[in-house]
Amino acid sequence: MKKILVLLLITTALQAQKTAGTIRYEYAQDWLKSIEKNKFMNNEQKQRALQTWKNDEAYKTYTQLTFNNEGSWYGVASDERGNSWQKTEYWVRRDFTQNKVLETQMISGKVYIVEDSLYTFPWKIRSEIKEVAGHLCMLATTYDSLRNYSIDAWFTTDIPLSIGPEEFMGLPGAILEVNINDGVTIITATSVKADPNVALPALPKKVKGKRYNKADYQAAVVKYVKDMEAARQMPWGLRY
Amino acid sequence: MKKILLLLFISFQALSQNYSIRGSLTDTTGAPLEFATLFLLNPSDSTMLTFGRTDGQGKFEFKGVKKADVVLQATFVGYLPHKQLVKYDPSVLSRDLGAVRMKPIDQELYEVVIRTAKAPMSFKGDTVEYDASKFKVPPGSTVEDLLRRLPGFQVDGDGNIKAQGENITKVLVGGKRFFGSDPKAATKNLPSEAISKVQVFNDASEQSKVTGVSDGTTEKTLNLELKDDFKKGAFGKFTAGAGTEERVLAKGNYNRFDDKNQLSVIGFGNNINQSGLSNDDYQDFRGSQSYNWGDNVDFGFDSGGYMVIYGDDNSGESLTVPTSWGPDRGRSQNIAGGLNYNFDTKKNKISSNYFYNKTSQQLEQEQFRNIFLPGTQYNIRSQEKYENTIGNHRGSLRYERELDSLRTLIGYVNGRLADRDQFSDVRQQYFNLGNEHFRNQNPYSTGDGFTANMESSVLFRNKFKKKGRSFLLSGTYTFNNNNTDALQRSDIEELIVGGESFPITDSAAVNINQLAVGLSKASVLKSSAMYVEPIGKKFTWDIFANISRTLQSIDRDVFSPPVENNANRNDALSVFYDNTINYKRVGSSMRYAHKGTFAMLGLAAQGISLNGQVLNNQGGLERSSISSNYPALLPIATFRYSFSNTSRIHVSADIKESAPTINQLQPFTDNSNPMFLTSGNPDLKPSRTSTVNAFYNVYDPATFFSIWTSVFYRSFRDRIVYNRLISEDLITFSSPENIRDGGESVSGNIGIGFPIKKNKIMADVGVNGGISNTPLYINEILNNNNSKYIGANLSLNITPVSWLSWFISGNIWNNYTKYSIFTQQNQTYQRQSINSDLNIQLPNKFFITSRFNYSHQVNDRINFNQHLPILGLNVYKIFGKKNQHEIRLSGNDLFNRNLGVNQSASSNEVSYTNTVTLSRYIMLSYSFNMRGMKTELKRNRWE
Repeated sequence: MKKILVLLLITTALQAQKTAGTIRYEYAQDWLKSIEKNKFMNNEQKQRALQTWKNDEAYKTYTQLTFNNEGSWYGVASDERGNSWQKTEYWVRRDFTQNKVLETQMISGKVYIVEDSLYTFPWKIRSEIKEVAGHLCMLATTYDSLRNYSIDAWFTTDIPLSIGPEEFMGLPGAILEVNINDGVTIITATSVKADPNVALPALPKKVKGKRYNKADYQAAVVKYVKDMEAARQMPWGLRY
Repeated sequence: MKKILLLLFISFQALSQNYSIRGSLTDTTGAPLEFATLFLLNPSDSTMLTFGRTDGQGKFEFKGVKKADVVLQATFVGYLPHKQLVKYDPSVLSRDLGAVRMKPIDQELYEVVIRTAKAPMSFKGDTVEYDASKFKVPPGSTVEDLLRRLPGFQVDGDGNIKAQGENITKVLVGGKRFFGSDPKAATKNLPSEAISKVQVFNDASEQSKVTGVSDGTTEKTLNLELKDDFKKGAFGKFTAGAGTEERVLAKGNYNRFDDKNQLSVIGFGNNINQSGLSNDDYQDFRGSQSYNWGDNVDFGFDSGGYMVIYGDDNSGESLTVPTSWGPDRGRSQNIAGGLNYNFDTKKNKISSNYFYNKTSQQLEQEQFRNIFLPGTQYNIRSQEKYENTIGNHRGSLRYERELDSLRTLIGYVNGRLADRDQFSDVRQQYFNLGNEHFRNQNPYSTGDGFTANMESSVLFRNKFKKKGRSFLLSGTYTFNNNNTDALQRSDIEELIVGGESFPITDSAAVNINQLAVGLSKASVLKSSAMYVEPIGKKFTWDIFANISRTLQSIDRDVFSPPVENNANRNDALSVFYDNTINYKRVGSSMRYAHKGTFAMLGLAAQGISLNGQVLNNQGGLERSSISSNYPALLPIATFRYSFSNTSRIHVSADIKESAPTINQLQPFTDNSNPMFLTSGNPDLKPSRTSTVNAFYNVYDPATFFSIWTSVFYRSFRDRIVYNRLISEDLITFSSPENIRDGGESVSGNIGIGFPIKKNKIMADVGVNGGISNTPLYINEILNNNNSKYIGANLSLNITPVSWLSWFISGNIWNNYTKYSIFTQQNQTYQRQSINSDLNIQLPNKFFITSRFNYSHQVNDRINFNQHLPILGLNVYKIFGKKNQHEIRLSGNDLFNRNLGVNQSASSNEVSYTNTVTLSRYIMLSYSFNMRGMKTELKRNRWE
């Protein structure tokens, strides 16, 4: 595992292109689409919700990915307003030199500190291109079999690092857009700034709380989603 | 995850094998393409195995490739992605592909699709496909209009299409031929909104892939992919039923919609006490305009100052389409119908509706009242009959326009016209302390009235480029006209008894026969403005101003004998009153929000001025006048702290000041029951309420364990209470007055929710309690009415299997009332109840549901002891392929014991009322639902 990632980084870091900087993303969640996809409501209830709330706009917030050759930090955008409901904020810190990831994940507010080796989904490369934030991107897709989500990632080889927002990485370029579960959650880069001297935000001195590995956290997510489905409630409080 | 890691590991293992692929990438002229990205993919599913780049000479090499067939994919900006299968040949371990040539993408197409329309472009061999929905055409355009706008297409006057210079000879829709062979049939007729993708390819090459034989001819083919979800549809429901006791029910609704329009009709009629729409039916009727929570026109924190103008015909009717939560008291007959239309686009939202409903309610009730006075007490037993009929026409119109991405303008009008008829006949028997029947009284009245009520607002919202900054401005005009005519009669009969008989002193005053004609008008003009400015990332500052002017007048004439002429006018009871309330407020607040902490501090300066005059008659002599100002400084503070993301505490405190209502101010004596006179008080001052609130809650999403606790404290100054003066002959006069130290109240509750067995048995337990103190004057002696309550509840939500659900709950509630001047009247009221809601699904979509409520209420002081077992049972079957049909047999109140029971202890009396309410009936009904019936028993905690 370690070797392959080091290898990936070497191949991608060959050219002196944008290898340090900040990408700002818009994170939009369309809760009506997730209602449309849930398994417990009947057709009438779904259609009623869709008709009643059709003018509601998707929930939007801004995140940022700060990166260089050695690692990346992803979390709430630095200019976002204070959050009065969450004490702990969501962030993902990747260290390419040590092949490590440290994340504060949340399930409906309950914090899971996840520490593991870098991981990626098995990507399929598609013959499709589009422009995101001024960069020509290619499409890679994968499938989250735990929660039955399709995931579309648009990546650009202009930034030849295996970086990306949220849990996504492992492509020959930075991921600038992710479309999860047919548009329920869409994370789109709005700007890309190269900055050779960018500093990764310092980690909180000590991250309190029990450490989980990725598999344990994902098992907790699946259990939560199943429990909520059994209780006929939407599994709110997840990133996607 | 494990699998993923494993997969990567495998690919890594493969890398260590000694097989390599190399080559160079060039364009069609042979020039090298440097720093292009190349992938090796698994041929079966395109999974990425590895990737690399060409060097400065356009050369690439993959070493240690898995010894199997792979697909090489090369990509370079401005070129069609190149894919080729590289077959594994064990004899060639160092494979040289030579020069791999990439074809450029048509430059115009590339620029327009990728750069201008920002649309994704995909490639299948030489086929270029793109998202047509990104190319804007006017609504109602055909595909032909759309094609004219697409890069690389030409459409001539006859509708012949050329793509990339060649004639299109075949048009497919969703990959299939569309109505015969005329390629123009589809492009001329299909609406462009239905198209998601446009593809152009040479059909022969596609065909030759299948047959392997090229016939030499190529057909340039256009394929149009349809949107999967071209949102358009209709739905509806219909139910009709008939039962014993002449019970009938019919209701239906029908809706049509597409992405912009929603049209719905609804209607119902019944005599089973359902007077409003259920929440679901309301949402189906109003669609996207069900809830416009952004339409609040009063900005700034709530400091209580606004005059609230209700319908003021005591009907409790709202201005907008009524919803009801459950069956009404008594018996009622109801009919209703309405039409709603919404038009929604991003820029414009228009909504209009009309709704009519008519309800006739009959209440037959018996009441027992025990009234105590300093030194003595008496009881009244009454048989009461009321009939109220109201017909409401309601209409509303709302328009919202997005002026640009930052500014929105909203305007709306809601109106109601209502016709009312009322009848009441109350037969009262008075008993003294020795239980001797000493008096009969029979107040009787018939009347009718008319109400016109309207509210209109304009609201402007302006956001700014700076996130969090905004400006809001609103203007509102409301009016309410209400007139009533009532014929009022009351007869008193005094009986001779040995004990106390409270003899009537003025029999003319208590035997009435009069016509009361009243006309009240109220109008409010108000405006609010607010500006919000973010300061740094954590602070937000706002400043706001509110002004309003309320004009009210009451013109009341009482004629006795009941014929409308000047000679009969009773000047003592007739009055003309008009009043103006001016309200002004400016305020500001500062908020802090950061990492789970929220704090807010605000202060408002408020002025309420009342100016009123009481005249004998409109334009007549002035009896009295009032003019006063009530300035106040009103603070608010809120603090919320999160211990973690799942537990937090909230504390808030504020002081509010409210103007008296028009009913409290109206300076005339209502003698419609001459033994119980009420009068408003034009001298009332605003009342002030100080509130402290605290909440604490915890929720664990992993275990579903939750705790909710709250404490609520209020203290009143200048509280408006209804003091009572009871004369020697028991005529009671009640009038609102301010009490400076108006008492206080505190209440609290704790609730815990937890699973006994997760998703099978959920439990909720809770206790609640409170103390309140209400001072008021009885015959000018201050009485402190002290009330304490304590309650507990337990509920279980049992859903062990998919065919059974059982919701069961138990409640106990004890209420202790103490009177400072009638200590011997101190009393305890107890209530216990059990509710069970059991639902069973049998095979073949047969369902049985039962609802059982048992309550027991006791108040020993007045010998009140009431057991109420109410059982309802439903059996229904859902049938049809799409579960669209249902036959239902329902039994309502099978023990025939239903009764509306109400017990209360207040001021100087304790009473209970039993209302005859719709009881046992059996009904057979049929329902049809286009969208299908719900066949699942399970529901969540809020359903």
